[in-house]
Parts: sequence; C-alpha cells; structure tokens
Amino acid sequence: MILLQRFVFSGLFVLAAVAALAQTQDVEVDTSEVRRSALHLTFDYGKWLERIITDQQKWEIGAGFLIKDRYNITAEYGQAKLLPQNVVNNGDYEATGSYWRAGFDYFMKPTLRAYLSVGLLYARSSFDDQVTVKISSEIWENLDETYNRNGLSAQWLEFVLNSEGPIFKKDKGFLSTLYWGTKLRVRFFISETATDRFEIYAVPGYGTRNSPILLAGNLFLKFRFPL
Amino acid sequence: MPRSLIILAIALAVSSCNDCQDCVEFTAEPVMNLQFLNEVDDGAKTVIIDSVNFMSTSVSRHLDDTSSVFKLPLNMNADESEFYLVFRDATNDSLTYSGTLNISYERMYERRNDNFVIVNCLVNSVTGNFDNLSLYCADSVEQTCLSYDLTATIRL
Repeated sequence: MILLQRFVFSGLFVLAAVAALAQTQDVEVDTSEVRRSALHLTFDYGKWLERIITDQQKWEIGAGFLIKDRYNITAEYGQAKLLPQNVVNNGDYEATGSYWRAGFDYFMKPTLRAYLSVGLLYARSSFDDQVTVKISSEIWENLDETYNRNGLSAQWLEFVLNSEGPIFKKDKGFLSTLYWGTKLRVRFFISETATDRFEIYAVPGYGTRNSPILLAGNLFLKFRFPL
Repeated sequence: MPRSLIILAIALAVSSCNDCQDCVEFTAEPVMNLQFLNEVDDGAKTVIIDSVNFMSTSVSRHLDDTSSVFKLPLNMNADESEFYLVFRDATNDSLTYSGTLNISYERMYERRNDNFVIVNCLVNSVTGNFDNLSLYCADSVEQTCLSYDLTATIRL
C-alpha cells in the first residue's frame, strides 16, 4: 500500500506540475509593465491531498511580501504528524509537531510560461516523538515498550526552486489573484536535539532523517494581491 | 487499454509485493553463551538441559538441544536475569545437576541496518552457585562484556 500511495501522490504531483505549466503557456505576461509589489498568501494543497491518501497528517500555509516583482520576503508555517513506515520494522515511530521557515526569494524576469524564482530559507521544527519496540521472547515476557520524548527540535536550510503561474486568464478581479505552482526544495540538515536510547527518525517539516540532504516538493495555491 | 490503466495495474502489482511486517513475529532476544567443560581435561562436556526456571526447554530453540554450548536468552524487561537450570550428562543419565545463574546487565537499544531494533546487554556480573564458574569475553578473561561475546563456563 505504501508504494501505491507514493505512486498516486507522485503522479498527482507530476500532473499538477504539468497542468500548471500548460495553463500558463497561453498567458502572455506584459514584461514591459511597471514592476509592482504584492502581498501573497499560499496554501499547500499537496499536503492536503496527502492527508487523504496517506496516514500522514500535514498542513502548511505561507505569506510573503513581493517587492517590485523581484524580491520576495517569505515565511511559512506548518504542522505535521509523521508516521514513517519501515523506520522501525519491529515497532512504530511517530513524530508530531510544528515548523516554520523564513527567507528570501528572487523572482526572475517573467516568461510566457511561468514565473520562476530561487530562494533560500532557514527552517526550524519543534516536535515530540514516540518510539514503540516489540520483540518476542521464548522464555521471558515479550518486550513491548513505548518511549515518549518531548521538546525536541531541529533546524535546517532549504534551497527552493519555485515555478508558478496564474490559474485564470483574467486581468482584473479576484480570479486574477489566483496562482498555482510547484516548489522543489533541497534541504540541508543542520542539527537536532541530542537524544539517548533512540535516534530521531523523522522531523516535521523536514521528513525522514535518512540523509543530511533531502529533496522535497510542494504543490500550492497562491493569492497574490497587488499593492 | 488506456495507458493510465496499465500504469495503475503495474502500481497495484508492485504494491502487492510489499513486505508484510506483521506476518512473522520478530524474535531477536539478547543472549549470553553458556558452555560446559569437563573438569578433568577441559574438554567439551555434552549435556541435556531439562528445564530452565521450571519450564521445559522445548519452548526455546536455544536450549532444546544436546550440546556443550547453549545460548541463554536474557530478560529484556529487566536489568537482571535469573536462571534455575536442571541438566544432565548426555553420556550418563544418572549424573544430574542443578543450580542458579544470576546475570546483571545494562540494556541498550540498537537499530540494525535492516531497521529492526534490538536490545544489547552489557553484562556487569554473572554469579551462581556452581563450583567452577568462570567468564570469558571473547578470548580474554573479563566480566564486563556484551552478552553476545560473553561465555560463562561451568566445569563439571
């Protein structure tokens, strides 16, 4: 089932990315117009879809201030309950908590296809986790122990490649503020709370701790309000 | 057949190959080695363990054998294990023995490469009422040792 869930979710991600690019193909952007600033709010609908398809419970929102169509100050906040499979094969692992990211994006000159930007964000997560281990015994009582750890934290950096475009071909009105897009993230782990007994196997906002560098993606809707 | 259905069929086939974590109970208890030697010439002495803590050894794959070397499963829920052993000489049924071994240790968890978590026991002491009990950690005479490397030797 896990593979199927991953397959379905990956498929949705690719479909949405292709759809976003296809949608923006016909949108002509007047690059000669005066650069404007804008406030924007984002909603990660990919995580919302993931909630439906998998056991993971996640949501994430963001806000930002775009200065003269180029420089973007952004902040994101999310909560997640991670239940990574196969992290402890003879037990369970669960990590629950919140995270935030903050940083800057640089938007490149708009093209006919999409708005592209690159960014760098600092991220921090505060969370609790729970490890359950089960080992059967032939002559003693079976081991079935659960360890709860509270007040854990982790921090990392993210390099973000962002692609977005307007959903509707509208110049004015509310619909003209709606954008959708995808983000490709490369996460560089910095540090985490030192623990005894067990390592930290997953960090809300970061993902599983298999590697100090992790690739991730987001599907998002954006409300962009020109100032 | 539409391409999407083929992809879905492949995805379903792949997902059906997913390993079942609950199919087999995970049994990987920490163990300590127990060896029986002949008191006269230090040669291996083959014994049959009839019971451990008044339980038949048929319950344990480690103890249900005629051998000179056994593996004693340690209690994972406590920092000590007490074994009351009843055994006999495999070559002479009339020679029966009994005695107690007390093993105290510190438990530590380790996640193996295959993502199974096991319990390792760092043994602090092994005591008992056998006359000739000695401890070897691998090849050296030591008492503080991981249980897998520790051998308690009883000379009969």
